[in-house]
Amino acid sequence: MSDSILLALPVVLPAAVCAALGLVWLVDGHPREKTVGRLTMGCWSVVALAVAALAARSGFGASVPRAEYGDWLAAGGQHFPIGLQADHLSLVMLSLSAALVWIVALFSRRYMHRDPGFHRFFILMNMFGAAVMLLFSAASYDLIAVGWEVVCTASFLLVAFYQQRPAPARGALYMLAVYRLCDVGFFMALALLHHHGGQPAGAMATAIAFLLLLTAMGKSAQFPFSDWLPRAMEGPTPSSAIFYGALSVHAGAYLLLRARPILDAASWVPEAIIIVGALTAARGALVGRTSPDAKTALAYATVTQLGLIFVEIGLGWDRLALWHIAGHAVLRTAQFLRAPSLLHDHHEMHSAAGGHLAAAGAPFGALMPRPAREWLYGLALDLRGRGLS
Amino acid sequence: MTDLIPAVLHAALTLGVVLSAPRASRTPRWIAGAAWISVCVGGAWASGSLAGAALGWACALAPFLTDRFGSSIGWRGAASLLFFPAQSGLAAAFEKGPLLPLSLLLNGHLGALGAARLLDALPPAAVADARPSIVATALLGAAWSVVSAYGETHPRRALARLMAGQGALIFAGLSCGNASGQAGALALWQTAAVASTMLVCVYAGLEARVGRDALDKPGFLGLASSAPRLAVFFAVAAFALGDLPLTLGFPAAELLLLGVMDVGYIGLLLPAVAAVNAFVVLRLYARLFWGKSGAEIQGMPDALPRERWALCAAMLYLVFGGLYPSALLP
Repeated sequence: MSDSILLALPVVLPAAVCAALGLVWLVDGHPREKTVGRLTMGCWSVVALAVAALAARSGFGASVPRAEYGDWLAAGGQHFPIGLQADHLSLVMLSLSAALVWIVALFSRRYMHRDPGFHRFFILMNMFGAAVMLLFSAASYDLIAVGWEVVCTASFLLVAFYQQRPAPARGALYMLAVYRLCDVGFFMALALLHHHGGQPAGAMATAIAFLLLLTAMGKSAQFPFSDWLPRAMEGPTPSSAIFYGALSVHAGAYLLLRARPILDAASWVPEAIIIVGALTAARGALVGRTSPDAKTALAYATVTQLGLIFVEIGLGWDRLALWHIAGHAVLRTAQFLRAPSLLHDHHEMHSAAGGHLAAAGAPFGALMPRPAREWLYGLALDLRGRGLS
Repeated sequence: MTDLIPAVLHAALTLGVVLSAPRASRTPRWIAGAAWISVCVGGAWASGSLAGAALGWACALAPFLTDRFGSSIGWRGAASLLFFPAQSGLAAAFEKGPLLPLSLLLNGHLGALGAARLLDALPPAAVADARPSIVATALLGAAWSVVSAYGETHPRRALARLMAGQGALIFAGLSCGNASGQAGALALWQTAAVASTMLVCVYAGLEARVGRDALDKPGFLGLASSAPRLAVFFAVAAFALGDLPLTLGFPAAELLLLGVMDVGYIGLLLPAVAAVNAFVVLRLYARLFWGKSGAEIQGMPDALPRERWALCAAMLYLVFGGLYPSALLP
């Protein structure tokens, strides 16, 4: 099988499944849960195999498979070519995405069983999956923007999945507002990149890099845009796991890694990334300690790790940042998927320990004087209310 | 060929509107009025001249002044149907006037077309000097419209302001004086015409089902539980009007952005306008379709077959344009 087919499969196949399921629903079709689940699992199995084949053919990043599929848009003297690639960065993210979406699809078949929105959930999951595969394999910023925006759309609809309740609806609108605000930076950067022939230098490189940083801050929930992430947890647990714990939130970090040549040509941007990341990590760690429920605590833990990833990118430690992303995504998916049965697990451990289970984090807390602990607790509660609300 | 695309598309939209309009309003007078608007709009675009655009615009107003649609909007309302800067009158006309015919008229964007034809008629040197100011004015007009739409609580008024904003953006593209801007304006015209007609058709259908007062209530109305397909049609149209990918709105915005950037850095205002525009239209979607539905909405019928076919065709057009935009653009 040629590179062009292997590169296209991970994008086209989930998109086709999404379109097929959507059309069936539109003409009043009611496919069985088993059919929808098997179709999705089959699709993502093929996607995982295609990514594995790409990795093997490229010698695990030694060479870079690329494919061009002609122009998506050729009008008004402008050409937007469709090009996909699988360099080392893309391969890691593609492998991660294929594996995690496969696992979450398997989990969702049982978790969403008999949910009235079962069909809708799988449509949106395939849409999101196709979008992340495009985002991570796109060979141009224009195509990254397409994947980026479809991820935004799918996330908006998934956060409000339980749309009868007002809280998810409000959470989705809040997230949309943050995404749209920060995506202004992406489109401004794209316009400037086109205007300067794709290779900016000097002050223009700095301006573009700052705009890309703004974009990445929104998607990766960096300070002061962190508070959309806990609100996004109103969606179904599998979508929280895969989208806001594993893939979607790392897209910002991926964008910065992809834009390394621009960052290198810019002044002050790496320093700004470090400051943003450090502030985010500190705030996330503090506020997370005051979270009343497991999913919110996990959301702030995610924010903390994303802040650290940004610090690594700012310091130029790209390889470490990439492996941090991979490790964090896998761990967080596992934690989110276990979150619904956390209370059950805790009770089991509690009785197994004879009712003497120590509170998590207590040994570290004891190292700090009580007034300092109380002051930090107050500060965390104060910071919680000072997001971009 | 370029001038024929709007004429043909507008005729198709008119057919769709007539098919999907509530049965009570579809009198022979009403249908004749809608057909007249379509002929005038098509003629104005196809004429390729300033005189043709002006004549088409003037003639298209006639059914509104002769009370063809059951409610007259008066001379002031008619004058406010210009794209810029009379948006306040436009919102009032939308609030009180006949919604579907007004959307047909406004989606012709004859104000933008007339202004662009006027620029073509002026000496090129004078226009070249003034071009950055003209584009800046159009973009600021669009920004004003979408910010006003953000502050609107009534769906009809919000829709009017969003459509006025699209008109200003189309004018920005047409007045760029470069191929990207012109192509972007044509793509945006198609997007705005199809998407906002879909939005208005769905909204008019909802009004016919539950009454206007029910839709003007604050908070989430929860209509998706009774009308999931109407919700999907509205959502796809909202994505297109919000310039999101997989719809024609995305390539339109890309081309327009490149066009206005060639005129000057004022073009960087366009992404901000597009972002607010997308937020407002999706917020409107959320307000209408999300949340828990009240007792008066329970049992409301979903999309009827005649609505479904018309809206489905419009949706496929937007999606096809998003996947393969070159087919719809010169």
